[in-house]
Amino acid sequence: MRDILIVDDNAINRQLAVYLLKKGGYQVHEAESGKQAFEFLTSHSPDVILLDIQLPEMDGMEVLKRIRENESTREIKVIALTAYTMRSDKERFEAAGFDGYLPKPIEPRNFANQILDICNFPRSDVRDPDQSVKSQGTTCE
Amino acid sequence: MNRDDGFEELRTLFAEDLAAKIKTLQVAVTDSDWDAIDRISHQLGGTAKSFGYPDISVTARELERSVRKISLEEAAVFIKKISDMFVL
Repeated sequence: MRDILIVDDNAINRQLAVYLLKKGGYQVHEAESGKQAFEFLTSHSPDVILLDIQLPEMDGMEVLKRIRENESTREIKVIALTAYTMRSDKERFEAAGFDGYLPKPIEPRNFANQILDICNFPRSDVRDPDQSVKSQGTTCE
Repeated sequence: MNRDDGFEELRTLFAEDLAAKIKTLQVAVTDSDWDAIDRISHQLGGTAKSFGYPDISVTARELERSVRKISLEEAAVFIKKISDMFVL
């Protein structure tokens, strides 16, 4: 089972992601802000962090920067989950060092598999057969 | 609780949240609060389609892209469109 932290201040979006990921077989943790995320990361090391960009106080770009600066967290896969979907936005996320990019709105049917594909995790990590559709997520490579 | 029950519960929460966000957008227009219009239209654009409201996502994105480039009266027209889509 993969361990994942989702950081999003939009409660409805976060709840949807949590629901889909739990159905997909992930162990899911939630944070509403960068501050909460770092509190969690002091005692946990998830396989993946799904990081919203538009966050209060500390935006997703700054959160990523601090994750990469910290020796204990720099190797964690970090995926931008964002409604900023212009081509220039994607390039900005690539340059910042995200491992991948998932545009909002979330596609419920593909969501769990998109994360696996971006991280190069085997599909067998997902248990829900309804989520076996080909992913449309893109890596930042 | 099966998969559909869980998703339907989330849809209900989304509908309640959407109604609140529409009211907040209306107040933001009255207050000339472009920051709030920008923030909420961004959130709606990134959420509504997931819950079966693709047209609201499209319209909210149009509003977000138009923030500060249009008049408050024109922003109110976008918000009215979103509100009408929700009722339908």
